[in-house]
Amino acid sequence: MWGYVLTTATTLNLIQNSFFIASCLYVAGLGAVLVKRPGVGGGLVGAGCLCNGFSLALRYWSSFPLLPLYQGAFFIPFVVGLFCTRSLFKGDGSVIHALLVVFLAGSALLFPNDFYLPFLQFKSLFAHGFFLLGVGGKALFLLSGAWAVTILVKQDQKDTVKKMGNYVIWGYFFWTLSVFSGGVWAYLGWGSPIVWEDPLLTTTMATWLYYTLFLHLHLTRLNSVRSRALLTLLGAVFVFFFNLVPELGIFMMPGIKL
Amino acid sequence: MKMIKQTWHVSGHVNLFMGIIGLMVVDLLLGYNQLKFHAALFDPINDMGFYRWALTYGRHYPSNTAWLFILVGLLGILSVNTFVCTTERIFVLIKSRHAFSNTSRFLLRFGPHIMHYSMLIMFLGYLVSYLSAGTHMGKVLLPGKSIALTRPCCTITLEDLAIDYYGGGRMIHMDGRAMDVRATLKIEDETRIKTAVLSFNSPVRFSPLSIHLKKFAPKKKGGMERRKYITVIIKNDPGMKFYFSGMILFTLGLFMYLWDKLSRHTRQEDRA
Amino acid sequence: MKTKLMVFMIGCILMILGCGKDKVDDDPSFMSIGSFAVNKIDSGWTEVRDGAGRALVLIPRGETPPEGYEPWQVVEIPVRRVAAYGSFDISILKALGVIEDVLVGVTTKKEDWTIPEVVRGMEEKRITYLGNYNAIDYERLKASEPELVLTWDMSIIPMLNEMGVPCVITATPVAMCLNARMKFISFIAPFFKKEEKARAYFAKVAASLSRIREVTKNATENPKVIWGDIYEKRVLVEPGNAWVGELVSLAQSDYLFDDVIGKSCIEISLERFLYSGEDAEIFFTYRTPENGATSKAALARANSLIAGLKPLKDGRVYSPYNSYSQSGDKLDEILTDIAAILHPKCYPDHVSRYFRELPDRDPGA
Repeated sequence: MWGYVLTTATTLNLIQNSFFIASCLYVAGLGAVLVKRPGVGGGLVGAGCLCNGFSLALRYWSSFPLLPLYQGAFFIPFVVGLFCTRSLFKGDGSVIHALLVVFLAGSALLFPNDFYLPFLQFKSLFAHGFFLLGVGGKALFLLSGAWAVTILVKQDQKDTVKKMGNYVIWGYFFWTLSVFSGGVWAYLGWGSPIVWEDPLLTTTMATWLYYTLFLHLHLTRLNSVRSRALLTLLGAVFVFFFNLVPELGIFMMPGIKL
Repeated sequence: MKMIKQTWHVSGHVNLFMGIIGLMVVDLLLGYNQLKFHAALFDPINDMGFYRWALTYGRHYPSNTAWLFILVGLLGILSVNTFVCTTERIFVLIKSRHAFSNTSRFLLRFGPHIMHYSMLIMFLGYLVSYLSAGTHMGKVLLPGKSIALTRPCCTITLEDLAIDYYGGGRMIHMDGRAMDVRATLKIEDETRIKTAVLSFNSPVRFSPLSIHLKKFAPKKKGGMERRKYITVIIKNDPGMKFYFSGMILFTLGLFMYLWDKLSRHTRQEDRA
Repeated sequence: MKTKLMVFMIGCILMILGCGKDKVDDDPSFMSIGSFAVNKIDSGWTEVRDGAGRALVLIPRGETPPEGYEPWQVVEIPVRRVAAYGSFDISILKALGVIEDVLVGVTTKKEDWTIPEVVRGMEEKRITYLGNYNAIDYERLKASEPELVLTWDMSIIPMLNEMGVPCVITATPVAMCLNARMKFISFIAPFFKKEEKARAYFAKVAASLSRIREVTKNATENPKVIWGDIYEKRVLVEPGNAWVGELVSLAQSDYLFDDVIGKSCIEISLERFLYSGEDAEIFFTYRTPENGATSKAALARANSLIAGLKPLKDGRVYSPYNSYSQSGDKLDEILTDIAAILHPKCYPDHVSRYFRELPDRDPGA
């Protein structure tokens, strides 16, 4: 029994410690961006992504072929971090991006929800599709929010507006595929395309509808850059509060575990 | 005639669409709390269907279920709006087909309309499913034993139940737990006999039925010896074909939309 | 303007409907009780939904069964002979006042019973021990001629169908909330035509709950509580949506597994259990004294992983007596007992009847 506990504890410690280090690197990256060293910032956030990626790989490795349950919060900063690193190296990333990564990593670190044991129903390609595509969708929606802030703060530029729109479109693409993947999975597993047990199905649909509405805005007169940026930002806040927060757990003090 | 035209125009107006979607978002957010704290009121929809559920749970717990009725109503209005709006725009698009330099660009413009129509097909699928699907609940199968269904008339026998237990050290918390369940079923009616393996997320189809694995025992190796058995969900869902067709078509439309958008973007960059 | 006003009004209606308080009194023609439901469908007929989602129809004795139901779904009421697995189900039969008249079979040995009616019934051979719940003796079950079996074990359904005995699954896939626990009797009552007794029982428990609210509302302390245990590699706890979690929160206390949602006795990771265990002041273990919970030291010896929990070091640990799981008929007393443990200052003269506070060491150790 002790052997089992030790092996489990070692893997868990590695998972948690590497994510803790990733979060520290994200904070350092933010610091570098704040002191106007975007290249260094990009490097630090990139290094954070490596640690975060290692932690995620270990999470997947220790649960595959089952799905790591309710662990999306650890995956989102990784995806956002990758885009942030790219933007910082390209020179168009801002403190907002680095702040977003830190904020997301901090939420996952301080409020983990990774204590449920996986179920056999979660062993399906569609379950993984639902989860990973959903992570991609959420990350892109949040990034579009970061670009929206950039536009609102800097009264910016055609290029940024286009980027914001593209992030929304790709986010919508991933989100839609995630919803469909979830529908197929629900049918295969429970014989029904909608499983009326999980409250997150309402917020998932609400998010999809919100962005559907957003993508139809060009049909109305509400088409100024500022109003689109405001709605994108609102969407990102919506995604955070209604799709991320419900998946967070209670406050737990982080730290290196030996 | 004028009134019909006016009604047609109003029912397909984009402002109506915006209003409905906005209300649906608010309604769904209210539904979140109800589902979170009163999931037991909604869970029976899966097997009872919407109509029977509405007459029992829905009618007797209106403060908890009103959001779902409102959602269904809004979905109905949204369907009409989407149909009218999309049909109008398709006519406009076809009329302006000569403005496109090549056929593929013209066809790609149908992407959003395909998405809209496929959404209607999905709604239709859900409607058919929740109004007419039949579900057999709590069906238990023991190895070597059969159960008989009356509607449709058939017999299901669990010929073999193989459960693999995890023995490696990689998966956290999974030591000694079931990792794979394979139930060999023989299903027969008056004219057909089918033998197939049922496992989680891998249902067995025996038209018009689909059989889904719900529960099994024993879940762990050793410990208290439990009798081997499985419980299954047996479903007869005529809406399934519609909502899956809708999903496939929607995805196709989404790809067309993105392709169109990306190719336009590339052309703009080339010009620049 | 009109449109805006309409949107505003619809929004208001939605808010009122969505956030409205739950109905205190259910419509008697249909009642949802957690995963169970009772639906009066016609004069004298009642359709019930059991914990596995199976529909059963209860018809007055001697009437022709309604169409559309299979034989296993039809139960003639009032039921005269019942075999039951769960001690809570059996104690509910006591609360309904039918235990001595209807109970004919159980899956717990005589020496483990604390319900006098069951002990007496077994001594008088009116109640048969059917064998361990994992391997009941079908010959004995057949001989006891039950008209209904109350069980949580779905694997016996095919055998009961062969025997032509209807059964009710009383376990649910999600934990029973406090309201469902209190109203579970209303699900069992129609089988025996004892709805009045069920209403009286509910009123009694609801009154005790109100008293608990009243007595504890000014409590100065807000103890942190955990409820569960570790069995070898498995960590089982009561989730926040279970009735005990709800009760702890209701009695001005902090249930540390409030965020855990799922079935009763849900399995969670060891790390999560230990995290809350290091913060808790009161620990309710599932283990009875017979299962090794005789003292804090004995618990720590049985499982060294929990030795570091704060309640074992300088807090309080409670173990249930056998009577706890067999006293569903005295749910009001159990609720009060738990409230008194959480707030001893609010209940100065209270003596616990269902839980035992574990001493640091076994006497004589």
